[in-house]
Order: sequence, then structure tokens, then C-alpha cells
Amino acid sequence: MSTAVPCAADGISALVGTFSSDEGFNREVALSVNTGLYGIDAVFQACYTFTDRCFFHFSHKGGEDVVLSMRRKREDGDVDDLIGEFVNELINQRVRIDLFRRTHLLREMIVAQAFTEADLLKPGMG
Amino acid sequence: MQEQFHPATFFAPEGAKYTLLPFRFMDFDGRRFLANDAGQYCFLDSPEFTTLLDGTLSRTSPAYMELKAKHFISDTALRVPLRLLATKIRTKRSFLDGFTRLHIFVVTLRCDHSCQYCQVSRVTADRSRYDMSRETADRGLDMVFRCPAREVKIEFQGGEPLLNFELIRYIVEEAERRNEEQGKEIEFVLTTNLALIDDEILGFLREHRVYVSTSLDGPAVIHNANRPRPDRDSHDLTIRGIDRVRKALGHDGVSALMTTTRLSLAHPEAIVNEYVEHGFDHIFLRPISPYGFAVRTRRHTGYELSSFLEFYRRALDYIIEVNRRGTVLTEIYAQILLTKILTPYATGYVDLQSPSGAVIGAVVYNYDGDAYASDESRMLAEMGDRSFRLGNLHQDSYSDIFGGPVARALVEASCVESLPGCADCAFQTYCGADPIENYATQGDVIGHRPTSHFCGRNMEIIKHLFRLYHGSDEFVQRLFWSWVERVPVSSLYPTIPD
Repeated sequence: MSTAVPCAADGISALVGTFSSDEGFNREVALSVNTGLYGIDAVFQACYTFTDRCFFHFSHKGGEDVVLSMRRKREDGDVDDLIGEFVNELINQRVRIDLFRRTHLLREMIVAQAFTEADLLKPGMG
Repeated sequence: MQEQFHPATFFAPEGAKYTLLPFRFMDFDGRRFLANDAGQYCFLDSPEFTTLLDGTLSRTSPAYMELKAKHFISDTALRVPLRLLATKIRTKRSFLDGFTRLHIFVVTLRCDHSCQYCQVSRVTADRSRYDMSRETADRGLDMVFRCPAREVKIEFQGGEPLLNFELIRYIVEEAERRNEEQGKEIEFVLTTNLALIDDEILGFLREHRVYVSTSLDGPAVIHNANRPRPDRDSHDLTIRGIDRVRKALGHDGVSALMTTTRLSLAHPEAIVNEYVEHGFDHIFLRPISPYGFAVRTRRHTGYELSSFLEFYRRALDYIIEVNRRGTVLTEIYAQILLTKILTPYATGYVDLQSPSGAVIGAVVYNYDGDAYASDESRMLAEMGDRSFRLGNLHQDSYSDIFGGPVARALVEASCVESLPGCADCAFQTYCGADPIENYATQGDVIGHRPTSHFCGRNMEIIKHLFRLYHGSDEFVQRLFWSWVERVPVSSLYPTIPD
């Protein structure tokens, strides 16, 4: 059995369905995620933060889309909330990756400067 | 000549008037919490965060000035903020200087107590089997004086170390003799239950300025249940011992630690009162360690993380009220975290460092000559798992023990900057990694942050401290600064630093 529920977020094209289980609660949901928008690293990092609550399974849907099956470990809270929190986490991870890309060279320079006696920050660098 | 660095425009989004400097962020009570590698932080509303990222944050907004002052953005030459950040990061990591400061000598495994949560003690008369020998102690001192640290702490543990007091006397006198040439600053600490303290021992401790650390788990009903002796008199002996030590060494010559067991959970106020009643100006609310007998007796002494966090919050609330009524009492774990949050300084607390304090900050010489990366490593070994044995004092060299594969693996596995779940955490600068607890509780040194008690405990305690500090109670802000500055609230300037 599957029941479609709405999921409004760019790059998450649809919630494929929620599935009833013997335990009587919706344990498994499936999301189609556009990795071109979020990046596969952000998808994996978001999944990692949810591994206390869910088991995950990925399958390639075609193109840049992956189907992400989330199987809940226990019934705790509303499934819509779970999806909402996951999508927010996906956005957070995507922003973190973008921030890293924009600032990691500066961080490397700062840390290098912090632990060296030499002056690495030359005049005129900015 | 080849250009070494990208131009400043590389780091700024197109059209932006400022450059983003490195930081991490997280959701926190409906706002965004930002922190940089120096530990400076700020809270932003979501719209402010969005404008910050897209480069359109108004120069006239209060957030702009705060972000600039705390080095989250720069609208001038990058050299200045980068240099300031580098200096603050170097200060935060100053614990890396002075490899290795804490050397723990387990002078005997024998003990007169049979504590429910103890990891290592043996109630036995077999001295030859469980006491450290002079030869082993000499090899341990070789390591103390081989380490480059100028400031060194030698700590005596057990079992009950006073059951082998003659070896303590030997190590102290021998260390002082060797130090006449070396000129290190050496501090001695004796960790004891105080049951065996006598005038001869006190005279020696006074003469050689040996500080005493003991255990006080709370009122007699809790303390005696946690720390059984045949006559159920552990609490009496501890209190009498504390009084005797204070008379001999001065009031601050003895400090106390408590361990939270299941029995403690319902009595935070009574435990705090016990410390106040006996004249302590500090209390350290510690969870039970997931090692040794504590694992075997988990059914009787263990509890869920949520139960400890509830206990901690209640106890901290009560400690704040005790201070508000005029009694000076510091909660040590909060003091450590607040120092990391509110100042650029390192704390030297080895359990909240990156890399962790194992080997870098502390090493343990067991009674049999085996060297371990931490007390917890030794506890695991007593359970039969010697994964974190660095080597043996009689068989291995300094470089074998301190630079061998076990030491290197522990350091590598305890850098939060590269651990999954930690690398992006906005609390990273305030926290640390404990690969040995990860191993003991989750089966590998890297660990799994979403289910880690270490992570869950620190995450929630740090959040709780932020909520209290940024709440409406100005006294709490002043109290927290008094803990950081280690002065009474009444000694603080009227204005709290921003």
C-alpha cells in the first residue's frame, strides 16, 4: 500500500509514497531527490544525521534523480514532520557545502598561519 | 613569480560588499547559530542569515557590525581579520604545547572499597601481584622527564593508592631529586578515598605539597550505597578525611569529584547541599563512565542519557539559586564549557579537546608497567580489552610508547575537524572527541554521532548553557562570567562583556 502525501520543496519532485507495515504505522517513506540541485554529498550528509531514526536505501531513478527510501526505526512523531525535517536538513547540508567551497581556502590559510612562525599573510593579498 | 593565493574577490559573491570568513552554523531554537574556529558566535534570524549568504546584508544593521566584529565577514583588507583569527586559534589550541603534562601512576590495584561503578579495584591482600614496583616507577619517571612538557602533573591513582604509600613517597622524592637538574614545574596529586589517611601521610603531603582529590557522591545514603565498605562507613571516613586534610594542607588542599549513579538522579539538590555543607566552592557533575564494573552493574547503576540531562539541568538550576543566595559554588563542567564559549583560551580539560588529550595531554602507567593512553584505556584493559595499550615501560622506548601506532591512531581518530557529524557541527570548537568512549560504547574509535551519548550529552549541555546565558536573568550572565574569571560575582565589573 502506498499513500501519496504532498511535499513542497524544489528538487524533491515528489514523495513516492508511505507504506504500512505489520507494526501498524507508516515506517517507510520514499523521496525522489534531484542531486543536480542538492548535490549527492548533501544528500548523504543529511541522511547521516538521520541514521539514529531511519534506515536508508538509495536507488538511481535516472538522470540526476535518486530515490531515497527512509525506513523508520520506531514510531516517534508524524511522518510529515520527519519529511519536513529531512528536507530542511538537506538544505542546511547544501548550504554548508557551499560555505565550505567559498571559505575553505581562507580557513586553510588561517590555520596554517596559526601554527607557523613564518608570516604567510603577505601585504596586498586583499 | 607564481601567485600563491587567490585575490580577495575570489572569496566574495559577485557584487558583494563583504567577504564571508569561515564559519559553521546550525538551527537553534528557531534561529541560526553561527560559530567560527576561534569559538566566537552569534545568533541570526533566518532572513538575516539568508541575506548574509547572498551578500546583501545591510551595512547599517546591528547584525552586520556584530558579524564584522566577530570575524564572520570582512569588508576591509583580509590580512587583519585573518591574522586576528589565526592568533585566537593558536590561543585556543595552546594545549598542544607541552606534550605530555599529566602522568598517572597506578601504584596499586588493591582497594579497601568495592564501589559499584569502579573499573579497576581489587579487594585483595596480594601485594606482589597488584602493586607497582620501584623498578616500574623508575621507568615511569624516565618517561615523565623525557616528555618535553615543562609543567608536569604526577597523579597517583589506584585502587586505593594509599595502600602502597611507600611507593608514593619514593616517586615524589625521586621526582624531586631528578628535577633538581631538569627544572620542570611539577605538581603532585593524590587521588584517594581518604579512609587510610593518617598523620604521617599528612605530614608527607604537606612537606611535599601534594594535593588531594577525593570522591564525594552526595549525602551518606547515596555515597555509602555507591561506595560500599564492610562497615558502611565510607561517607564518615571521607568527611573526616577531608577535615584532616584541610587542617594539614589548607582549605584548598583537597578537592572532590562526584559520580552520578541511578540513585543520584532523584537527588540533585541534596547532592549540591552536601558540597555546600562541607565547605566546597565547586562541584563537578559527572556521568557514570561506560567502562568496567559500571558496565557489569549497569542494571543497578546505569541510566538513559535523558535522565542524566534532566539531573544536570535540575542540579545546575539549584546551583544558580545557591549562588544567588550568596554562597559561592562553581559547577566545573559548565565552567570548562563557558570558558571555551566565552573566551579564546584553552582549558586543558583533556576530555574536550581536538585532538583528544589521550597521549598528547595524559598518559597512564599501570601497576604492571603497561602504559595506556588514558584512564579509560586502562579500564578497558581491566575488562580484558588491551586495544589501547601503548606499550610497556620495561620493554618499549619513549618513542615506541608516545609515537607508536596506537598513539597515532588515537590522535588521528580524535580530530573533530575530520569526524563525520563533527566536521560541520557549529559547536565543534567547544567540544571534543573521545575515541575510547566511542570504541567502548559503539564498537569503533570513530563512533556514530547521531546515536553517541558523548555527542548527545555535550550538545544538550552546551545548548542549555547558551539558553541560560542568553535568557532574561542577568544574574546568570554575571554568575557564568564569575565562573570563567574565577572570581566572586561581587568582584565583576557591573557590565557583562558582549
